[in-house]
Amino acid sequence: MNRRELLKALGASALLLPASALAKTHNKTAHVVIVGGGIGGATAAKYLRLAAPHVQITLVEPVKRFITCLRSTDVIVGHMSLDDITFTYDALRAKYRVNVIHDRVVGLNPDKKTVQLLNGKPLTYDRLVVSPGVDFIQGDVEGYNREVSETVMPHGWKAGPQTLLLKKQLEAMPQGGTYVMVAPPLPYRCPPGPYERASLVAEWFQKHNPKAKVVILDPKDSFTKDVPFKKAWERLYGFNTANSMIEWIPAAQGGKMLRVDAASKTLVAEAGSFKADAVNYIPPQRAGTLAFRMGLTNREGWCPVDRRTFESSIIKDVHVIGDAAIADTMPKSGYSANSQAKVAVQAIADLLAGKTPGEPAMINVCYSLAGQDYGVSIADIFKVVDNRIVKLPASGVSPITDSPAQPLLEAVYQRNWHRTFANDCFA
Amino acid sequence: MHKLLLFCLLLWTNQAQAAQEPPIATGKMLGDTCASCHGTHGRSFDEYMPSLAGINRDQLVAAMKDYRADRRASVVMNRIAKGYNDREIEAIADYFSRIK
Repeated sequence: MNRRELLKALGASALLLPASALAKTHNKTAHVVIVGGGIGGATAAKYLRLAAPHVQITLVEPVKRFITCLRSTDVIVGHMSLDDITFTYDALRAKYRVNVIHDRVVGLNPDKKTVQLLNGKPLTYDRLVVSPGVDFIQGDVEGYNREVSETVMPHGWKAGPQTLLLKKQLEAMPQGGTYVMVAPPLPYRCPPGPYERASLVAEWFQKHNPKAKVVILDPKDSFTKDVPFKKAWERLYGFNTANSMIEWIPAAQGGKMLRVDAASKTLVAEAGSFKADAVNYIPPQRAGTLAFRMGLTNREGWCPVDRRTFESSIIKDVHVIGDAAIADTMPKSGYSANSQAKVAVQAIADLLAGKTPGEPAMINVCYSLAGQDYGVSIADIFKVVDNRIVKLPASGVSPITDSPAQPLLEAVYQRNWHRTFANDCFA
Repeated sequence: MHKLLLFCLLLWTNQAQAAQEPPIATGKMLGDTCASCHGTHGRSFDEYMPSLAGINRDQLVAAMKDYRADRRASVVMNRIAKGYNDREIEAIADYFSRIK
C-alpha cells in the first residue's frame, strides 16, 4: 500500500466513523413517548427513567394538575379536599428529566411511528406507552345521557367537577331523603369503589342526615370484598335489619336499570320505581376514547396486549397499560396501573438495550374504607401463564375477625398507603 | 479425586435443579411490587409500612416466611407473602438489602 492508498483508506474509514457513532447515539437517545399522565402514565415515566438513564422521555397530558380518583369519595363526604388528591408533574420534570407536554394527542401513525398533537408538532417515538384510562358508555337505559350525567345524575367516577357536583347534591338532600346509586356492570374502574362510596355516604348520613338512606341498584349479584363489606355494613349501618341505612339490590332482585326520568329524579329498575333525592349514576365503561382514536381497541372496547410486556397485540411498538388494557384477573385499579407500568417500562428498557424482557411480577393491593375507622382490603399477586394474567390462589380479602384492631388498622394503613402510593407515582 | 467427583456431582445437581425450576422475576422487578406500599426503592415516607431499603437480608427472609406461614401477625402481609416462593423472597431480600 502506498501513501496515497493509505490516505484513501483512512479517508474512507473517517467517513464511516460518524455513521457508526451515530448509530450508537441513536441507541442511547431512543425516544419513548408516554400518552396519558394518570397513575399509569406518571408511574411509567418515572420508572422508565429509573430503568433507562439515557432514554429520552416525553409525557403528553392535557391537564397541568392531575386529580386522582383515589380518595375522591373522601372529598364528597368532606374528609379531604380536592387539593389533597391533586398532583403536579413538577417532580417528573425536575427529578426524572421527563419532558412533560400539556397537549392533546389527536392521532397515531404506526408506520411513521409518530403521534399527532392538537397544538404541537408530531412526536416521533421508538416506543409508545398509552395509558388512556376509561370513558363511559351511555348504554341503553332510556332517559340517561351525557347531559343528565353532567347535571342531575353525576357519576363522580372521574375526579374534579363531577366530584364536587355529587358533593353538592349530597349536602342538598332533605332530611330523611334517599340517595340512589346505580352501580356499573363489570369490567369497570375501581371495582370496590361503589361500595366504599355507599359506605362513606351512609356514615355521613349518621352525622348529618340520620334518617336518610342509600339504595344501590346493581346489575351484578356479587362484588369484590363483598363479604367484609357486608360484615362492616352490619356492624356500622344496620345492614340486614329493618332500619338498615344501606339497601343493596342485586341483579337477582331486580337491580338492573330500565329507564330514568331526570326531571323527577326517578329511576326505574327491574325491581320497580325509585324516587331519589340525590342520584349517583355510574355508567358502564370502555377503554378511553384515545385508545379508540389510536386503533388500539378490540370489539369489546378494551385493548388486547401481550401480558408480559403490555405491548399492544394490534399495533407493534405501542404498549397499553392501566384500566384500558385487558389484564384478565387483574382489576382495573390505580394499583394495577402502577404495577403494569413498572412491568411495561422494564420490558421497554430491556428491548431498547437489545435484551429479551424477563419474567414480569405484578400485584394489586386495595384498601377501601367502610367507615373512617374501618378498612377492608384485598391483596393479590399475579403471574403470567400462557399469556394470561392469573391470580395466585393464596392471597385474598380481609379476614372476618372479632378483633376490632383488624379493620381499624386497615383504615390507618389505607391513609398511609395513599400518601406513599401517590409518591411512588408522582414524586 | 473424591473432592472433584463430589464437585461435579454438585454442579450436575444444581444444573438439574435450575432446569426444573420455573424462571422467576429479578429482585428489582419483584421489589417494585413492594414499592407501591413501602415506597420507591423501599424508602417509605414515615408511614406505618416500614422502609425496606438497606434491611438485613436474613431478617427480611425470615419475616416473609413467618408471614407466609401465619406465624407472625399482620394486617395484609400474611396474604401478600403467600404470593411469593422461597426463591422470590430471597431475591427480594437480596435486592432491598443492597440498597443504601
